[in-house]
Amino acid sequence: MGNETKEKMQMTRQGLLEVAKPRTMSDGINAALNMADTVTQLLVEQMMDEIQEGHENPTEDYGLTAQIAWAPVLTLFWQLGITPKQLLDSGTIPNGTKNEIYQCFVRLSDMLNKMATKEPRPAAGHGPGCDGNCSDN
Amino acid sequence: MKSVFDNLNKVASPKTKIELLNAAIGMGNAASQTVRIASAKRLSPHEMEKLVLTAYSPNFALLWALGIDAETLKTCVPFAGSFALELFEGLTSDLDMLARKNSGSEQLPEKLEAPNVVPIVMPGIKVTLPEA
Repeated sequence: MGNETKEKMQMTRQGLLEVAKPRTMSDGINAALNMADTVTQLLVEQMMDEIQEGHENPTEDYGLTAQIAWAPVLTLFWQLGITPKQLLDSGTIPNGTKNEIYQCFVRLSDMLNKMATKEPRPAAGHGPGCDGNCSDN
Repeated sequence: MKSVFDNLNKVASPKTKIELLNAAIGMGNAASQTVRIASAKRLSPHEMEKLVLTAYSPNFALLWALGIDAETLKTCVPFAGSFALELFEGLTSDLDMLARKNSGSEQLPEKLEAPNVVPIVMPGIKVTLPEA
């Protein structure tokens, strides 16, 4: 990575760090659960429409479509610190695509965990949500 | 639904601001790279739209979780395309609305029953199809 790109990324990072005001846990859970519900209904409706329209192979890529539709929902669950097993146990994922969504969440969680810890984490003594620039410095 | 909320509320331990930021920037870079590679493949506008949405949606969800709105994003990040920005505005607006909606609310639409599905294996991906 070139110096200019690194500099730009640092500017982006600093800018976002200054203005970010993370959502509350309750907002996160509400958004994640309601979006999961919406996505599930959309997928079911889409599948039913295709069956009614008599497509030869109506849901050829249903599993893939489901994974794409669930990606932002799973990201919201990850940011809440919910593990794939906890999500499975909560009964949030509908039966039809349980395995695909679970596997997708395992892979996404793994990727997000790696990315989240790539940069230095807050120094010891700083609380959750602190970027290390609090008055405890 | 309310009990699912309660159960998640008990076990949730939200990521820190710095973890969210790292993940958001990482996912944003990965999405940009994906879209850049795909641009050379001359996809149709519809295929491109689907790809951008797929590539950026986790990144957008993370930015929403950080409390970043579209206006703020424009000032902080040299955003590639107006189309991606439109998608971001759409997703964050939906998420704002969904976050305000109580998960235990009776106003939620009635749930539809999913058709029976049987698992089949396709190259590279396990897919489920409805029973004929």
